[in-house]
Amino acid sequence: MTINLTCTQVSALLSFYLDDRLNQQLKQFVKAHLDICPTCRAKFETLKKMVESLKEVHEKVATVESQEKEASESPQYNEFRTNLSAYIDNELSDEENIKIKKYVISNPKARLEIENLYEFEKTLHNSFERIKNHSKTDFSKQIMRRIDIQEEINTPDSFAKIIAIFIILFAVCTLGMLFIYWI
Amino acid sequence: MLGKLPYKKIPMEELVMLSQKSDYRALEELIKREQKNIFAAFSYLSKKRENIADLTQEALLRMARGISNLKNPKTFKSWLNQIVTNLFYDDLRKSTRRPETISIDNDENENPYHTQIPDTKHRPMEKIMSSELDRLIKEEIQNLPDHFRIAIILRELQGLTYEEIANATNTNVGTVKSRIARAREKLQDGLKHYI
Repeated sequence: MTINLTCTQVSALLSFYLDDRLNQQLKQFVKAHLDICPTCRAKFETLKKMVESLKEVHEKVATVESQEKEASESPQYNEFRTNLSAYIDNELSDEENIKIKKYVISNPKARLEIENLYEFEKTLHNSFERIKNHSKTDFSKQIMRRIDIQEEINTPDSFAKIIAIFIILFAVCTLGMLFIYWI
Repeated sequence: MLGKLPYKKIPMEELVMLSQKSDYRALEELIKREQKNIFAAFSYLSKKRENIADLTQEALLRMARGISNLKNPKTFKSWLNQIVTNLFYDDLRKSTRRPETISIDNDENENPYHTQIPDTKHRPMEKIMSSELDRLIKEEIQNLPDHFRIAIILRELQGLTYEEIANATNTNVGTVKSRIARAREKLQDGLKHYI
C-alpha cells in the first residue's frame, strides 16, 4: 500500500528522515515524495547541507578543544607543573632540569608560567627585604644580660671552690698548730 | 690575625666558632646579625603580632645558650632554623590550647598612621604602595596552612635547601617539594590581582 504524503507532512518528517529515524515504510513514503516534488527535494538538500556544515564546525571545535586539553593534561605538562617550583629552587636532578628547559623552549604557555613565577619571586623577595629592614628592635643586650644571669646561677661551683680552699687552708693551719703544739 | 679584625667584619662561620668558645662579643655580633631575619620570619609565621618579639627573643636566647653544643659550625643556619621551627610548632600548640586574646596595645591595622611621621624624602607614594603590598603578602602567607607556611618561609626567607627543611620539619624531601610548590601556587593565586 502506498500513501502519497503531502508537502506539509513531508516537511514535518524531513528532519527525522535526514537523521534516519523513521521506520522503513514511512522512510519509503518520504523518499517517494522527494523523488517527485522538486520543492521538497530542494528543502531537503538545504537542510542536509546545513546539518553537514554544522557537524563540521562542531568537529573542528571539538578537535581544537581536545588538542588544548591534551596539551594541558599531557604527561609532559603535568610533569612541568609538578617540577616547576623545585626547578626555580635548583632542587632537580640534571636530567629533570634539562627536561624542563626543553619543554619551556617548545611551549609558549609554559614559558609564560615560568616568567610569571620568576616575577612573583622577585616581588616576594623585595617585600621580605623591606620587612627585614623594618624591624628596629635590638635584642642583643637583653639576651647577653639574660645569659650572664643564667651563668651566675649556673656557676655555684666557683663559690664552692673558694669555700673548699678556705676549709683546706684552715685544716692545714690547724694541723700545723697541733703539730707545733705537740713538739 | 683574627683578633685584629673588628667583630662586624668577621665572616659568619668564624663568628659562630668564636661564639662557641664563649667569646661574648662574637656572640653579641651573631645575635645582631640574625635578629632581623628571625624577627621577619616570625612576623610571617605568627598570626599574633604581640608574640613576634617574644618568639624572636626566645629563639635568640636558645641560640645563645645552645651554640656551644653545635657540633658543626657549617650547619649553623640549619640548626638555628630548627630552633625557629620548633618554636613555631610550640606556639601553634599553645595557641590551640589558649583562648584567643585581644591586645590592649594600639593595633597597627586599626590606625596605621598613629605614630608615623610623614616621609617627604623618598617617593612617599611608592612607599605606600609597597607597604600595602607587604601587608597583602603577609596576610596571604599567614593564611596558608601551617605546614605550607613554615616550608615556604624556611625556603624563601631563610634560604634553606629542601633537605634542610625536611630535617627541620621532620618530614621527607618529596613532601617538602610538594608543600613549597602548593604554597607558591596558593600565594600566586591569592596575589594575582596585585602582582
